[in-house]
Amino acid sequence: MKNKNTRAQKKDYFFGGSFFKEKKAQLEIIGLVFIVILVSMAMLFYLSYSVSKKDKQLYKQYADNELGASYASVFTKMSICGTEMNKLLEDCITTRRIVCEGGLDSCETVNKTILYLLDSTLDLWDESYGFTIRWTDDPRIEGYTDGTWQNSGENSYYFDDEKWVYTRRNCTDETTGIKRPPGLSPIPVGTTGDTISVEVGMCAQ
Amino acid sequence: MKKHSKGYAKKTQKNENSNVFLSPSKGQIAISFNWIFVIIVGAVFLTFFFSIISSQTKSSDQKVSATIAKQFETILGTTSQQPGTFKTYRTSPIELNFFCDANRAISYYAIKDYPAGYTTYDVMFTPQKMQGTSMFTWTQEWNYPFSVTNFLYVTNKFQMFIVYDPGDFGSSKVSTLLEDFPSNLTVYRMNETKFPSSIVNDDVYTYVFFDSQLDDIDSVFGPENIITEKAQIVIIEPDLISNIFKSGTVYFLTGEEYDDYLRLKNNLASFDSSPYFGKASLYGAMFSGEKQNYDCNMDKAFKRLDMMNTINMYRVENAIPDISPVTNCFFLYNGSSVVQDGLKQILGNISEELENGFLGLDKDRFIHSVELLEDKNSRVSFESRCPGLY
Amino acid sequence: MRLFSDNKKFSNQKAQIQMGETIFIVIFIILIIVFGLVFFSKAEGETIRDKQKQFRELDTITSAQYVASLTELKCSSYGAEDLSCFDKIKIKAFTNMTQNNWDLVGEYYVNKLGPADIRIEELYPNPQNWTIYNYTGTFDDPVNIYSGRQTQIPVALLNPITKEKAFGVLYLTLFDRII
Repeated sequence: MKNKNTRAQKKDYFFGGSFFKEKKAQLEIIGLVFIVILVSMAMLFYLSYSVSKKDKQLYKQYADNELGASYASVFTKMSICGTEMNKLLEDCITTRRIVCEGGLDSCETVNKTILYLLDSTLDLWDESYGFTIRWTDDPRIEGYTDGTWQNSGENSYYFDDEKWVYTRRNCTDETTGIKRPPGLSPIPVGTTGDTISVEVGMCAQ
Repeated sequence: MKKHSKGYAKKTQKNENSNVFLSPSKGQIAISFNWIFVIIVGAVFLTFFFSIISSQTKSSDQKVSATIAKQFETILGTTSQQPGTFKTYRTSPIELNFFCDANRAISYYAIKDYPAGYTTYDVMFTPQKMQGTSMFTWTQEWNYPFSVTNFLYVTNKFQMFIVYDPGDFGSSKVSTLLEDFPSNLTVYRMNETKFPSSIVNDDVYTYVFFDSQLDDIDSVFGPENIITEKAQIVIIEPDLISNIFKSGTVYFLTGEEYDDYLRLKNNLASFDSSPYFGKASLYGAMFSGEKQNYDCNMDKAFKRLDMMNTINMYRVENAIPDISPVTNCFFLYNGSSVVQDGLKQILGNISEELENGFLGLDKDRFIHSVELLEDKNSRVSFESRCPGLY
Repeated sequence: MRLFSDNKKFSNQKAQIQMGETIFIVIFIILIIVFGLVFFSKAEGETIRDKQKQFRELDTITSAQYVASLTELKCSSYGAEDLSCFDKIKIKAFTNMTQNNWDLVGEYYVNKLGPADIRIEELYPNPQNWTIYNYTGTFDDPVNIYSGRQTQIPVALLNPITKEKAFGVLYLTLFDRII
């Protein structure tokens, strides 16, 4: 009779409600703890990744702004053809009287110099940029809206003889346009109060 | 027979059938072992977690110190390049200690007691200790006569400057002294009717007097009006009344020494003193408040002056071949029997005078050479196609 | 006399099983905590590496600003200094000094700039270049020369005698020390 009771108890314990009830509660708790730990770790990774990405963008933005601003500033101040670049630009837009080395006029000299400098610097450094010389008030500037140039998609440059504009852009399809750098270098031209501005901006990512 | 529960019947049966000593102890032992097991596991867990917490706390402290040290290093690096700028920084509560010894050429700052960064080549005038959650930095360019380096002044709102401003003719010197002083710094102007009676919570207060004011101060204020506890006194003796910044001597006294000075009427020359050269240098004396820090930083500045002088010598050597030899410019650069010493010779003289550093400087000879250089450079600037030295 | 009846044997087994369960649970929890700590420390390691990278980039910006503002190189027009402008004679003088007087000036610039290579290149009108500073470590101060990260800054190069300004570029390459 005792053995029967023992066997019955065992059967009841292992295959009845008691054993699985206890096991179930413990298993549920373990599962809960496990999930909490997993979720916390996932959040930790996400947070650390998002913070580091923001810092990277800040540095890139700073470097791009500095590069654009100093490029434009140095370009307008450089000496060329016995005068300064800003004076040569003024002549190119107005009277075209200055004749430089090799018999080239002011516009041809400016064009040749820009090509040489961009090839030796921004193109060589694999930068995506926009280099523009324009009248500040010209409403016909292609794709100019609110200080951000839209992507032309072409690696091209041209002169507009009526209202002088020179632009060269090589922003790729992945970029969204050119961010206008702070601190432009407007050059007063003539006596009408018009100004030319030289802008070098890096393509926004 | 009483009717008992099955369990009890079994127990009784157990007792009847088994060893009398084993059954009651077994239960107790089982319970005891259970508790022992719980205690051991609990102790292991607690030790484990406490060790983690303690190591994390230590590493967190070190991380905070390293971050603050890096921030401070960046502040020093960027602020010192922007002369004329005054900036306020908010930090977590920190205790900064500054140490500078010119004889051993050691200069560093420490966060609490941990050396955080070396400032061997940074000219920084600071109090010895700074506590709090904010910090002011101010930069001034030191030119003597050419641009040498930027001086950085570091302080906080707990450093107060107290000047004697009688409001008459004598106050023009005080106004000139303070004209460039940032308004955020705590400056108290005392006179016959207004004097600081007690200052609470200010860690450092620096009295700044001119030597010509000392008799007035003595007659108007007794020692009981001048707070000498925790005070530093800086007394300025300019070489020229018309230009207090050009050059002069600063005397550094502690509160107790000032008490002695008032009581015993000692000669000022018996106290610690150092020369100053230029506005930035004079401000440095005010911010340091004591001789060791001032001398140490001026020694660094003079080492830098020596370097800049050497660069200028190379510059003159490199410029001379490009200058037409029959022009006045050439003689101003190279010297001649008519013009006598040119820039080349004067810079060489200055270089010799700087060999012994700030601590071994012959002040009058040095000032004379600098004046010659200023004169020569201004004459160069009037010549056409003649590059000025600075 | 039997020591244990079947009942007692079953009770003991039950107790052992329960103890086993408890131990298993404790071990499992410890394992989870250990795994969590391992992941956490790896994440911390990543954070520290990111912070390191951030500090390195800060260093690049600080060094670039420092070099661009060096009085030893900047143009000066009798006190009024021109930003983004270097004096060509000063550049030559500085180059001579770092090459011939390294004992006097080396320690100072190594303290300020660390391991670096700084080159100024004139692009127009007369292409030429100067290496004004080059320190790639010593036996006591080893440097990883393959860790260089370069920054370029356009600068105007002034000839103070003719007053002509050339178009130049300052190339700054910083290296990492081997710790």
